[in-house]
Amino acid sequence: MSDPYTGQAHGGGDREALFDVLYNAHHQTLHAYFLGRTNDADLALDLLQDCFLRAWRSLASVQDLSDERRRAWLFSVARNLVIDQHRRRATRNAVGDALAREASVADSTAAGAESQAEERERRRALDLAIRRLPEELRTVLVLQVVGERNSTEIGELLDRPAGTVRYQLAEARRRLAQDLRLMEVRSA
Amino acid sequence: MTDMPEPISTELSRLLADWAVTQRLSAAEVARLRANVLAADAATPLDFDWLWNLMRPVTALLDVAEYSGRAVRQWPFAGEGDRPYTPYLQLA
Repeated sequence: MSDPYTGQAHGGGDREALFDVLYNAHHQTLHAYFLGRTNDADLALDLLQDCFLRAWRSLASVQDLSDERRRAWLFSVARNLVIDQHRRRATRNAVGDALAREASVADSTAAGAESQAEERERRRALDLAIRRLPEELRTVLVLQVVGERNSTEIGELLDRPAGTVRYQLAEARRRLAQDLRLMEVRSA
Repeated sequence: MTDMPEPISTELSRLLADWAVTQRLSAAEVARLRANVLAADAATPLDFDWLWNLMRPVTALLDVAEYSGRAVRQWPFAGEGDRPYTPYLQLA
């Protein structure tokens, strides 16, 4: 294995450094992608690990690619992992139910136990509403809010026009607002 | 971005932002996952799925053998009384 710029051989440390570049650049977006596609936090973590394990084993071929093509390569691996997973799930009929990870971050803004409980309940309701979204709407939404990607970036990742992504994001938000009855509360 | 009234859109964005915080990986999880990848690679240098698929012409025979065995064990005819039915080849 040699450095694409210097032509010098990569040692173990260089290999890890290259892996870290990939890992740091893409782990958040890939995690959001898996979370959106699978609706299952534990499974998303497993797939993320599997994806990077494949990247680690394929560093020799990935290292010569441009940043854009590395990202495309990683996402094609991610897509295939999700497809494999969906196939396995279809046979087991095991629908994911673990998206609702209990909040690990303490709510420092809540004034008292009552408002904390209310906040937890609202978060749980949102969690369920997100789970009820169709997969393609959920995926773009989670990529936006968890992955912190904009509609152009999401479009590139999912191979969809940015306009379609914007429409899907708006539709996802409309459905959530409806599901959470935000409209009714506001108009009451 | 949406047709919904501004206050509702703002409230929804706030709820989603709070939810996203609970979903994102913590620094500890990110570090643990990275360590897992490197450790998993050291522990299992051989990709068994890849090897199994590579050997598919041979491994397919194992699948057939297993299926055939099950087919015989689940023979649809009942035995006499409590005696299980034992399939055998009857010579004419």
